[in-house]
Amino acid sequence: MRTTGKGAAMDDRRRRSDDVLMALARDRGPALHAYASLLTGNLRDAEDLVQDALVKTFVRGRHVELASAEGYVRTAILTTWIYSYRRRRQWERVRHLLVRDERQESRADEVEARADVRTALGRLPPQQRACVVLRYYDDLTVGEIADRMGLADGTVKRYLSIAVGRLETLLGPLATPAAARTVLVNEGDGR
Amino acid sequence: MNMDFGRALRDVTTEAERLTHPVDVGRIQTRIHRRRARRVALQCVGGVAVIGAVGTGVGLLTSGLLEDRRPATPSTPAPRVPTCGAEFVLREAHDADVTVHGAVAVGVVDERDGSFQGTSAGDSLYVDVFVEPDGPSGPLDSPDRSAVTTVLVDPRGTVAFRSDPAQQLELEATDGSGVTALEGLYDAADCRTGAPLDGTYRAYAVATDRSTGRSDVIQLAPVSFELGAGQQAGQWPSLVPTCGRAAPDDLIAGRAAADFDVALESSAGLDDLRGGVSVRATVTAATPEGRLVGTVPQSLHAVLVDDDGTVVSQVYDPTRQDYDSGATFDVGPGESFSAEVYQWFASCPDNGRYETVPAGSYSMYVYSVILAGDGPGTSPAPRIAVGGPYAVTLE
Repeated sequence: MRTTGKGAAMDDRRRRSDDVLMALARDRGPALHAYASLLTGNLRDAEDLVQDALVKTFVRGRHVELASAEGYVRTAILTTWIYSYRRRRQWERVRHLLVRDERQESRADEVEARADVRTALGRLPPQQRACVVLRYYDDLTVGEIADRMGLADGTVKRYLSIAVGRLETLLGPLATPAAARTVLVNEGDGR
Repeated sequence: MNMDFGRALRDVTTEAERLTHPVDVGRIQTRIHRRRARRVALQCVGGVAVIGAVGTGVGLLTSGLLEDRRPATPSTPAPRVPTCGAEFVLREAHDADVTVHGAVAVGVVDERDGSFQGTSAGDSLYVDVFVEPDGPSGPLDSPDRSAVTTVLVDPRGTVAFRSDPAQQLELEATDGSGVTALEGLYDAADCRTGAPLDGTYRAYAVATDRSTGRSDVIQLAPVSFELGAGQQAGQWPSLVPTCGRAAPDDLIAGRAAADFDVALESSAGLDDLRGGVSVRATVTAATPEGRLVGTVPQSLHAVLVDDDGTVVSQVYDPTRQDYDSGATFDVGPGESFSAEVYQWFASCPDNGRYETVPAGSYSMYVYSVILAGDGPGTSPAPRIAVGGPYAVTLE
């Protein structure tokens, strides 16, 4: 049986946790949805994914600073998607949803470019796709990606090498990531 | 000109930010508060009525008959069971007339349909650990999950999780199906701090006879929250003899191509089996070269073949899963490790029903699938382990 003092402290901790949740959802919700959509390929699944990640991050009412909360949620988005969503969602079902209705509000060439990027991303298996997002969007190094995904450096290099090759067949040559510390030459070869 | 793919991704997200809906905070808070309230309610009532008929375990949730399986004193630690935060020193014991089987799985609970999905990134534990009679005997029976306590021990040797029925998650699917709790679900939280469990833990199960204080303590497969970790043991019905069909010719002829040869350590009692068999066995690598590396399964399987050469028992008893033990093997040609053959002899299914194989004399073959890789870190593949025949009499 919990004591009254402990119970009150827990309630207070949960209230503060909920406050952080609301502030994060209000201020960074769209950015989190957009980030998740790079993985899911569409906003509808991205919104579900973010919701799952937020529940997972805040359910225990732990004290999390607002400044660091977004990082926890992004990590939860990544891990939840890789190890849960990919099993529930049929990849083919996702692929045909990649191009949404938003094109009507944008310039045709830009829309086409974005659709190409989404389509190319959508043709990557989940692990490769996550590696590409972490590499090109989050500007992480191979080592940082390996830590984030719980993979060996060599595995990440292999995924990136294969993924970049596939992307380039659809999009043309890709520039080296801005924060690249490693140049991928051949599969598994980093320097 | 090379494409700036990072910039292209940022363009995609910028557009997505413009199109997305706001986060549904209300729905998230409802989910969070429901889960928190569930835990508080459990702590207050000191127990929970759960649904039995777990069936084949992970990933399966049934809506069977309501059944109260609370132990008589759920909050009283059994003798020899370490408390949360205590140092755990393994003293493997086999004093009680029971044997412990099972595993602890990491995963997530889908509140919509109540299913449990195994994933090392999960925030829930499914403690699928139970006791059975020391030797299979009498009619097939449901394993008892209430008489065993499971603990997870951190790398420093202290108990970080202890299964307490009063702390089980209560669950009712939100999709209106009426499906309710899977027995053995817990929050994957450190019992000392409430923080999420993280990393890898050793797992032990302690079954204690409360009347005598005698215990059976075994080490289970480790529990890992590392990405990519997962249970390896499984069932491979297509790789084992099928009940009701003729046994494979090469098995009868003693020429079955197996990766492991299995020899029982004793044939005592085989002429007086009651429902099943439980016997230690030596498993020897039969491959011509290379090494085989893997985790020792908790149980090896056996089948009965009658005088006509027909398989009359099921390799995979429909009420049980297969589990890894806490032991590993790394063997080359001719090298061995020890394992246990533990098998209830269930008859071939007839419209989904089955019973104990009729009394009589049979040939018993050990026939099991063991996952093994070619070396440390390699992907395991199913390998066949075969032993026998042994003449047995089922009373």
